[in-house]
Amino acid sequence: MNGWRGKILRVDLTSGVCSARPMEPSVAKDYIGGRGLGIHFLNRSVDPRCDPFSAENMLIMATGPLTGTGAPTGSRYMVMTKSPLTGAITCSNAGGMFPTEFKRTGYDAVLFTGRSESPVYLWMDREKAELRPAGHVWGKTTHETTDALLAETDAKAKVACIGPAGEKRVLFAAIMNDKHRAAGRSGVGAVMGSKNLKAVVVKGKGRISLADPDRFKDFNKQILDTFREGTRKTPLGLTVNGTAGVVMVTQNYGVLPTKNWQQGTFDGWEKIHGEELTRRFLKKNTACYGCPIGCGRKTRVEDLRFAGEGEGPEYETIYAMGANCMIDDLAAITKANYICNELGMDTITMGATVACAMELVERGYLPEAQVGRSLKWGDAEALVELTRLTGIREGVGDLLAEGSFRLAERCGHPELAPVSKKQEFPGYEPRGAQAMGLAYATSPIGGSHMRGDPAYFELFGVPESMDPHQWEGKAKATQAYQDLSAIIDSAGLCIFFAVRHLAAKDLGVAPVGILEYLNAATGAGYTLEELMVAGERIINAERMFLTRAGFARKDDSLPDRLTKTPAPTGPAKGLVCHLDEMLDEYYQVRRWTEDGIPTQEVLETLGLA
Amino acid sequence: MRIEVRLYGDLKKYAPGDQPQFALRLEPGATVDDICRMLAISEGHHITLINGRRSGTDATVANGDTLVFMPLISGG
Repeated sequence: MNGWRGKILRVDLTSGVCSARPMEPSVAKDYIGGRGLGIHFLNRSVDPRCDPFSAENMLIMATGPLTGTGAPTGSRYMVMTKSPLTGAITCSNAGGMFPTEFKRTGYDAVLFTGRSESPVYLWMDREKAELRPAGHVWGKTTHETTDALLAETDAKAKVACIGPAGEKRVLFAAIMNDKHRAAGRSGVGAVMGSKNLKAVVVKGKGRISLADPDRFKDFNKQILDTFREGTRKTPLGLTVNGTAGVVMVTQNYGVLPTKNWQQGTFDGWEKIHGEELTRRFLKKNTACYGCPIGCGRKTRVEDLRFAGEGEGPEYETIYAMGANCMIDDLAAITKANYICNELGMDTITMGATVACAMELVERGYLPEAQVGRSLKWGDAEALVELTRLTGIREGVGDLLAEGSFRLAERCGHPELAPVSKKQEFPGYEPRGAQAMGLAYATSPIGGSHMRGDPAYFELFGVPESMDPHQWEGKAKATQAYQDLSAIIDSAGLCIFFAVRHLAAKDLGVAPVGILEYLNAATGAGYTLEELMVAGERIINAERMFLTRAGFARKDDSLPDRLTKTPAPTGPAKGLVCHLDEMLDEYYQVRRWTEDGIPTQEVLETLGLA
Repeated sequence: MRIEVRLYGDLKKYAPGDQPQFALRLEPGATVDDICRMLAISEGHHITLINGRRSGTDATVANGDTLVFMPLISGG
């Protein structure tokens, strides 16, 4: 096969047997790869009602047909499993260098089943795969583990691993690759830890073969020339200040979640904005494989209280650990980010859980004695300390390691958790960006912006603007962006480039550029319609997993704080999120029942019946 | 009438004085386009918000409005 490698590695951790099998071409075409491939295998092999930490659950790492091809931002892989945080599926992706190196071994994906009796890591040297003991790195940070495993395998290999948080099943533990890139969300690292799998180390060789290299090269040149021309005079904001530059945008729209989602504006925003990050801590930009943007931030903090070195923070981290906790100390936020990377945790859930704890303490629902320290809004030292304790499940960290929903529930006030399907939201306030609320509620993985990101049309104006305060008509655009994201995530691309440069310039966002890349790479001869149907198929296949796990409209929800309490400050003052109205419209657009279940008709159309 | 203008990012260079946030006195009926011309803000990668809501260049501002110019940024 071209584009795809045509092989899947199956690793049975219970028996220790690694076996290769061919990928069926029809599955490849129908599900594209990455996220699509992941849901295909989950639906085929995993009981949606299984315990996420049981041996029955499967952990899937899958690249896309454009991963490692040289297509701009074609650097990504997707991790999929049943999430211990949400009980739904999760798919969390990352870039860096690991995914490309993984694909160079000769496999498109690896499926882990069962559970090892003792800690192991998977070593893939080209097509040869073996499980090796990992007892000597159990308990080590992601950075220590990476260095140790490179030393005993090959210095040029690439590593994805868990830290102590994954081993201790922190419900939002991440899988870190290349030390600083995170498949961060929904506890994929905790599932890996539950299987006693510490790391995957890969060393491949050669290039990914392409069906039509000349066609690929010509189109690539055209796309990159257009990108470079567009950014020649004015560099892309993402390049200059990273995603942290978004603080300015959300603050000015009044959608920067602040004080555990009570309001959408933060007085201290200029101290945590991307310009400050660039001025104070940036050492250099970093880029994932094949990326012309380079939004990554290699940073160093010299402030003695929070000294450290690493990568980040991203916008989402700054919202969650900054504005949301009323913390305007960028050094502390950056330090807490480093700790999350080293212990292997999701920064969004971590920050949102600390913010939730701050409100629980303020309202008297969580005694400070139980926290073991004072915990007031804006306490930067508390953020850093609680982050560290959570990653090793020590003291109150053991409680925070369950995420904000379970924390608030145990304190008797689950309504104070900023979650959908028990997963914390990213940093866009739905009262002032209505479609974001719909996207959070209908994302298959719970609160997420990466499974279809309406911020593009509500806030960034890409490709065109819709009024963020209006809810009417948002369902159709949200559905289009969700389908596009399914295609991007499955192809192995990054949303940052693909939404702007590889989709049609209208709210239908047809994947016209991705189509050309995919056909040049794979020779699969997709029509535009077939590719768009594949996106819709993936969304519906995910929804079927959720349906069988017991999810329905009742779970496509937002906290009352966002749907019943009017925003108190900023441009969205007085507004609530009109989720129910948007959901009615959305289910119609999706051809799902009023309860959010895919109809037989739509399943038949998509070949899922 | 009087409005408040806030310039962010590389647009700060168009401020008439030292401060990127300043008051501007205007004739009633002034549009965003008129203000761009007054401040010599060239066309480019920026977006305009009136009171936190996206506006086009032909939008008119009213007394007491806050007008934000910021670079076109996306991410997540």
